[in-house]
Amino acid sequence: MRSGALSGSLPFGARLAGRMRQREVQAQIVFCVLLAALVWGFIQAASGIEGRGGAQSGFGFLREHASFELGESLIPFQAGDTYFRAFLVGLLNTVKVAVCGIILSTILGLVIALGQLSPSILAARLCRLYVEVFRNMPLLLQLIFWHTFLLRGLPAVRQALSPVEGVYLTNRGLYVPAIAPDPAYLPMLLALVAGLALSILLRHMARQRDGVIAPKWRLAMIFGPPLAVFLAYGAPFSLDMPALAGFNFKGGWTLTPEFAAMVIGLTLYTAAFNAEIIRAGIQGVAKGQTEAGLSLGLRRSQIMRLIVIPQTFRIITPPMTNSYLSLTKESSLAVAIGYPEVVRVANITLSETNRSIECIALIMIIYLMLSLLISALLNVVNARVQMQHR
Amino acid sequence: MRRRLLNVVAAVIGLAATSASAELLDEIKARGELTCGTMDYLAGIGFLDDAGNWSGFDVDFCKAASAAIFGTPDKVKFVAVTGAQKFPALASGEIDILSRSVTATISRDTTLGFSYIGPNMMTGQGLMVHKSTGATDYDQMDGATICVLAGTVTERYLADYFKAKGMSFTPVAAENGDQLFSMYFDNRCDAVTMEPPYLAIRRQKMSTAEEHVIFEDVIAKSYEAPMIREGSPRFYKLLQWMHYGMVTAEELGVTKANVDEMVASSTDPRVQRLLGVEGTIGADMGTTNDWMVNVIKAVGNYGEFYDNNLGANSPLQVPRGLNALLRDGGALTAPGWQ
Repeated sequence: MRSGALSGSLPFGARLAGRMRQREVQAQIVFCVLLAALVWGFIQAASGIEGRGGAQSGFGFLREHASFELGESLIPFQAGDTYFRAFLVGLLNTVKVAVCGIILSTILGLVIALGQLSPSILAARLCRLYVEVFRNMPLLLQLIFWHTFLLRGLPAVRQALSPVEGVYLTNRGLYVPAIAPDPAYLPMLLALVAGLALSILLRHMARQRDGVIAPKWRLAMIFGPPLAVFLAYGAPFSLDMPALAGFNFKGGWTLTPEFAAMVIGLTLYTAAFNAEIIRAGIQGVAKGQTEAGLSLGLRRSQIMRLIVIPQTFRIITPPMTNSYLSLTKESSLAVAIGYPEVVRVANITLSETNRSIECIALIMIIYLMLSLLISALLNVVNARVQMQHR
Repeated sequence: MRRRLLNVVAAVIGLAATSASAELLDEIKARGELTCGTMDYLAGIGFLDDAGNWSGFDVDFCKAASAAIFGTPDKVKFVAVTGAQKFPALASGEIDILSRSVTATISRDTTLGFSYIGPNMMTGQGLMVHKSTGATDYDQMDGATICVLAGTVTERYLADYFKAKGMSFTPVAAENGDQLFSMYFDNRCDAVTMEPPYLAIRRQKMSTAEEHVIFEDVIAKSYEAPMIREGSPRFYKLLQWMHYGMVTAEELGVTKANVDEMVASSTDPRVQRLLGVEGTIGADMGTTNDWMVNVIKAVGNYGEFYDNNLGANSPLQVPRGLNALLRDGGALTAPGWQ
């Protein structure tokens, strides 16, 4: 109180000077000044490089027309579309690989982790072998191996393997029948969303009255409206069958060997790490919990499912977040096998426009955004699975 | 960026070198030897075999230059230069002639301090296709899957070409040449795009060579030419007219086999002028009057020079295309030898 009164009586300048004398504050100011100088220096250097090229800098080139093709894409793309759209295609292809890799590597990781902990010595040793083999070989090498394996191992287009009518397996990809688009499908999607919203609303209202809605009614609420729309349109359903036309199969859905090699490689590699994280998580749950479950007469599978696994989530969520982030960033290695993800788009744009700094900045921004998004989602999960202290 | 820097370095060194030296032709004659930068790994273009013999199209150009200056093709010291070394090597004076499949462009001609001869190989971007597809022409390629080298102009030219024709294709990108051709031969693609001579060389290495077709037409141009430093007008004119002389010899029907006979008995004044039986053009240029006889004895006329290395008499079987004489439907021609 007294010191406050004292400092309050001093003029502002003197108080500031007193603060400045504190070494801690001085160090922080020096740091901030250095950081600002560094950033300013980078900007100066970058604008200098662009200036010498004589071209205007900035991201305006994204509106210009790209003259290249990309091979595979979730949205329609062809030469003559803008660079912005090309980057969007690359981003979606990156997300496609990352989402598939994350889901599959988690499932496989869980299986391998449970295998390692299983009482069967053979299963435990085989799973251990898996982990040691896959996590100790460079990912790039594994990707190139799978790509070459698929190209050499699968038959050419004209000798396609066709186990079922309409399904063709070749070294240019797996072709399967697609559901032909129909005007009824958009209203069906809207009806599904409406049903989902209704079910969430009713569940919320029921909770307020401490009631529950039976699962069968909730399912009916979600899937009833789209089914009604489907029938109202006269149940339109036809398959778009792939057929050999000219050089390639046309129609249907295609899974390219580049995409398959990426998903296989990323999944097998990351699953080895995920298995170790999950194994550590399971072993990190206190032994007393299992013993308590046994003394209650629960079976081992029940103990695992009801007691251990839910507690495992608390331990593994932060390291699994890291694993998912690595997988997403490692998908940039796709450039080595020609999968058209965001780095490939940036490379070809760079060679056409000479906007090297902008293109590299775009890749960095895109990966940063993806990583922050994954972190944010998993932080929500983490907050929900943590023990509730009341 | 790095290439731009190299070019600047090359230009600076080039300026220093040219200002210091007099006419290169006199210097080479005094030295008794010509230095030639080429490649040592591509059969048909520039190749060094186990026995230490150099062969190929780019190599033969330097042998011809040696014959033009010294009368024999063996006064050449070959230096293998990489793609990144080629311009600094020429600019610094390490080599007198750069004969290494360099594409002649306006910026290389005007900003690097180099001059090009010819061009002596006119090619472009072509396609190699699996014969089993049955395609023989670009117009039949609609819907094809095509392997491309990532980040090169060939990707862009291909997309431009297909767009202009209202056709579509699916590209598969490879990071390097080996991966590119491995994917094509594994049938990942229906076709692969590159300059036809290089397509032919890659095809030749395969045991299944006859199962692949190379289209004769090209969709974009790439004119390759030997290069020398600027500042030696007599050396430049000797090499330029040596190229024209080889073309003229083919036009007049003078070959390696009949050149001696032509010297002895031809009554055609055009042949007599070319072979130095008549006039003193060779001596006026700073060499001997029979210099073209020596060049033709060394490598033949242009047709033989091409066919023995790349064309009909070689394993590569690259068609003449644009490199045929104008009268045969190509683009090869030469000013009058008057």
